[in-house]
Amino acid sequence: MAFLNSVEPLAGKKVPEKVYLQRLITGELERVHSHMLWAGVMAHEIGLETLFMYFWREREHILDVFDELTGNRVHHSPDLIGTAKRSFGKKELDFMLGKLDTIENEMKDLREVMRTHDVITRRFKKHGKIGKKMAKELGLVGPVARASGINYDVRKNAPYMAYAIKELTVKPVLREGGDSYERSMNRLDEIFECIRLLRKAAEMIDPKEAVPKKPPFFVKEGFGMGRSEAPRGENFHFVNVENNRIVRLKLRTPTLANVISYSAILEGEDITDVPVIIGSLDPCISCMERVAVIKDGKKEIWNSHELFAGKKHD
Amino acid sequence: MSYLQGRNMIELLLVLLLIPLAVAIEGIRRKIVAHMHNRTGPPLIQPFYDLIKLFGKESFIRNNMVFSMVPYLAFLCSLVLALIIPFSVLKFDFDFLVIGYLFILQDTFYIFGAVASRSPFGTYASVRELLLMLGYEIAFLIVISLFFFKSGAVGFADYDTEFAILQMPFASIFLIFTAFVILRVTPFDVMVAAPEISAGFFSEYSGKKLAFLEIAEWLKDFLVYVLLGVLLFGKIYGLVLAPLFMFFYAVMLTSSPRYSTVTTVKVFLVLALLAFLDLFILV
Repeated sequence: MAFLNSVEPLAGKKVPEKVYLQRLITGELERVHSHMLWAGVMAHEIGLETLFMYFWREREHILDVFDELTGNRVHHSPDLIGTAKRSFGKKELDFMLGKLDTIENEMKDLREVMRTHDVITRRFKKHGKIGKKMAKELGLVGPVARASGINYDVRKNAPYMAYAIKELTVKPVLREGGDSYERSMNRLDEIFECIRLLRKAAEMIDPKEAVPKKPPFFVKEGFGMGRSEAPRGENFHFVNVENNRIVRLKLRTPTLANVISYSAILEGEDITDVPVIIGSLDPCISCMERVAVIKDGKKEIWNSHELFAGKKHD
Repeated sequence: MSYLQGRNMIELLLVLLLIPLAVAIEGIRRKIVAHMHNRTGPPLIQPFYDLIKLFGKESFIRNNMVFSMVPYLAFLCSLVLALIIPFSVLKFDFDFLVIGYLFILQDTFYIFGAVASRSPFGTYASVRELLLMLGYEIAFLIVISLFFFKSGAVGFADYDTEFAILQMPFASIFLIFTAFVILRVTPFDVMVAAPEISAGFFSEYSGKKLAFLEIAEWLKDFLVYVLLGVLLFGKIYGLVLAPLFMFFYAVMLTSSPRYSTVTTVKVFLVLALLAFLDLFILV
């Protein structure tokens, strides 16, 4: 979505509202699924495999919805520049709404387990504390920042696409304290906010309307910047285009913004609590790993070792 | 072999048959855990498949004698335990103390192997195990001695108290608690905490050596179930009710998260102190 935000103004095409709403639906479903996946991993970190399996069972419902809406379960990529690959009809949206009811009921129980279980709260509370000041200084984003009391959400502060519609304004979940427990509860509460948005968007969408065909466009030269609120936080893209080809693409994934806090919050913690604290930041290590250089048709991928060893960019 | 005089080979064979039985019990335990996890789980004979595969694999051999010897020594510990616990093939006075020592010895071997492998995961597991040993092994030794003192038996074969759980509830609870660590069951399984220290002691083992370690662990687990059954419910009921403990610990494994290491060590130090108090009250 950040890429679309950066490229679509360059292409100069008018995008219909239905496409925006469809993007909101896939984006929010993506967020729900990401948070459930994270919650499962978090349960695994403290040795509670049962809760892990229960969270991932609920996640299966979301994957089914993706299958119904876009035709693929995980790598769905439903978006095209200016339009979408498929139009969501009544059948698909009803399927989604039915599944949302199931998920909401189950998630209420599971959140109650995470909130009240004695051992879980003992492991989560007071570990990996990030105060408001520290979060501001480190420039943290996403649920990590919001659990520390920073009211920042790209969907709210710089509304894009369907989030700019008045009825679909996001109410960010805010918490104080910023320890592992607050971050966890923040994410679980966010799932319910996502479900509210999804219901509203499904209500507003017109199932009969078709999405436009893939429009031709040509960009001579230019650059665009776009950002979006990914499940883990603010995602930033910088795109430089020459003769309808991307010559430079710079991504700043939310994990890259949050990873800086590790050294500060892990100081003085027991090794038992390290997986819990790192897990509570929801890191996506693969999001930060590589650099790909494509030059004269040859592709070269650098990993972190080569990058740190000082391979010079020419 | 003077201890084995007057025993025929059939009894020894019976003990060797306990090994496949223990592996089969592990299969059932996995099925129960899978059921609690809301998944289908592996087939019942999956542990046998695992062992066949491990025996077929080449072992990553280091030029390290302690590291190579540990799996066989640990397996031997379990085997000697199997001679004592269910049928008393090997019997002598005060063999219940030897039961406690064998559990300590086996864990000590694991620590030797883990330290000799020089893996940081193994070293961390060893430190945790040593810290816990101060608590749980002492409590375990005291508590099994308590059961035998109370019944007036001098060996495992003479133990004939029935439903000791009703006569000495505190000691029974302590025994069930120490078994959490011996069986590596949450919330007290800090020495095998996968997200923190990988496979703990066994991180560097592979192939045949890992297979022996696995058999040693499964046989030990099986014998702990039987020991708990016999001590708490008596000889006849104990053998019948031993699967109940397997079920109990499988349910505990799936229904509780892990305490942090500090909390676990604290719990078991307190437990050792309480066991001491219990001993004095009885004496």
